[in-house]
Amino acid sequence: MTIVINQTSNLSKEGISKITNETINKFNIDWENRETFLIKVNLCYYWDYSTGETTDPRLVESMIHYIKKKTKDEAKILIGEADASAMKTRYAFPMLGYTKIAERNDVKLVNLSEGNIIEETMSIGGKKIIISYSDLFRTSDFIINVPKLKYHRLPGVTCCLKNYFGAIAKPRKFSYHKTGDLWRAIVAINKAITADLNVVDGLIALGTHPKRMGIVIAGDNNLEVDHVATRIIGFKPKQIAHIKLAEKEFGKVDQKEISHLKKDIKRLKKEFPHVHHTLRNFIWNFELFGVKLYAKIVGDVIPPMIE
Amino acid sequence: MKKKKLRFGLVGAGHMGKTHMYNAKKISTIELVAVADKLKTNRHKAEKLRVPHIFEDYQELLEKTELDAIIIGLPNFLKYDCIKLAAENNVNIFIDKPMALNMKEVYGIHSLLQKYNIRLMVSTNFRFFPHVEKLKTQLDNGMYGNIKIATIDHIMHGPFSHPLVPKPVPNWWFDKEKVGGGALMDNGYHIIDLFNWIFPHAKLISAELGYHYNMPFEDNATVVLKSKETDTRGVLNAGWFSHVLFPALDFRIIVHGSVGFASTDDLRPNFYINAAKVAIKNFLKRIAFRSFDPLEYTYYFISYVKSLKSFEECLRMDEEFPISFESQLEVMKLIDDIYKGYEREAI
Repeated sequence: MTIVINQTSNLSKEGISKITNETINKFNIDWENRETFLIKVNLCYYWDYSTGETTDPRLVESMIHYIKKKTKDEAKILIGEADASAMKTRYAFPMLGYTKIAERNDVKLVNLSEGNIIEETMSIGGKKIIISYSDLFRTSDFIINVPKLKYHRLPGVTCCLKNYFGAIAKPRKFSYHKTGDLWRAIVAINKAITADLNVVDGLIALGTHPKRMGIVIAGDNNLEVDHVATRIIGFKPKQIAHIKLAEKEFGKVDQKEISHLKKDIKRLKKEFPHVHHTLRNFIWNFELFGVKLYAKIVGDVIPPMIE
Repeated sequence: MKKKKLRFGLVGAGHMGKTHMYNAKKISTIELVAVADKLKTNRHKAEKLRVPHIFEDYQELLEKTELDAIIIGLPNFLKYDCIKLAAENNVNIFIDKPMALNMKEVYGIHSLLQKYNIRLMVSTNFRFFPHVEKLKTQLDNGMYGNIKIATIDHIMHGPFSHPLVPKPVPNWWFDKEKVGGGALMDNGYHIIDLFNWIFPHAKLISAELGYHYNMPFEDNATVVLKSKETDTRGVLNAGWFSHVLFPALDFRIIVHGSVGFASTDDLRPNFYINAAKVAIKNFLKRIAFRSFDPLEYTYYFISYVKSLKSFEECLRMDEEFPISFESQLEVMKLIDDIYKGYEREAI
């Protein structure tokens, strides 16, 4: 298993291209026998890359150039994302700059909620769960998972494993958010399909606020990469429910595999804009509870956006 | 002597319509007798509020219910037809901005109002923000002398604001023909109206539209206006590009006069202190069986209540609305001039 961290202060087109090449070059990939490449991005909502919420199209474009160079322009490249509870890819792709990339580079954008969908019933943590995904995850020769390096209020961390939750074909994924089902769904989809390469977009990382960190973390094992990302964000992997459940399912991460990155992780952890997860969640839940309690007792109305 | 309640109907109980529906139920001089909405989930909300008559089709609502006024909370492309039918049924109208998609529809509405002798008020609720009202009073009193320059900003995420319970943005928001325009027509409308209200008879000096999201309509705009009455120049910024989280509100008016300057940021209440004060006040009113205004604890949502209340009071007293049709015609004309005159850069 290989895992690398690279960092750059140059976020120009050339800078991003350089860090992408340097990162992917570290992996021994058989480019010649691959015809179809699927790049799974994170377009969770209509927030552009500068918010730190969605995959940076500049990174994806440099990956496309890299793949084309390695495959002598013969490979078919797909950029994929599934519809979400509040997001439709047919709007997100143009709004977030992906339509332009696709047109410029002659690659295809695919909605992973459409086309041939495979449905599977899996047993995770002793309970059954049904998940669905595009058959492109089966038919593509090489899958690159490109998650964000970001804090998330619910799980604490969203990275490789959580980005695959976004690959579930069913748009209304919010239904999994009942406690317990979300973690099982994340692990289930990662059990069903896996990426050949995970390239974490930390060019603009997201904690309390977005920060231009210029990081790219890459690895062929999503759990190992998530361990590294989690530590940078400021958590211990065992604190993250879906990572804990994934390790029960797939086996614990051998810390020797990531020990060579200890110094980098320590340094980047200091740079990352940390969130006090417990305090933030407490304040958020307290405010929400307070508004709902007040509205119930007094008979007032809750503002539409938090209803 | 108890005031006689006016009978109101509501058409379109979606995002904005729902807010008006709750407010109408809370205002003691309004009797919300009917609601119409195509969606079952929205009709269910009306059922929970015990609205007596609920319809799927607003035509049926207008034909079968005797009303003094209706509140229109429909998407922009559906407003004109509803206004027309309301006018034909002699029902007065309270409607969210913009009242129409374009000037052709606005002139059509003007003709309808005259033909059927009914009254219409556009709810430009920003006029009723407490800090805006304070500033307006100060300016009217001449506190800052003659105002030479004013800036008004309203930046948010527009229709793309992510609610707590995720649901898709309605498709019509992505369709230029149905929405009529982007940020300029949406929150730009509010700030143009504010400028024209505070510094009357605004004329267009220049405008630039931006397309950050690569959509067929603008998602940000900068407009320069000048008041023919006060000679004040205004720089107005509207945008849909910012991921601002509730309760933050990226809105302000800054005025620079011959005697100092002022900003609404300095006049607005602290959100949390205001919320706590209002919560205590309303709790005491509740136990004393007294009524209160909904959403006052957010300090800015109360503006919708004030807007609806002012419509109802002026309708009852047969007085002029605080927001005249002519002023809204001026705002729409300015927006129309910007769209017509602006040559969009190639994406």
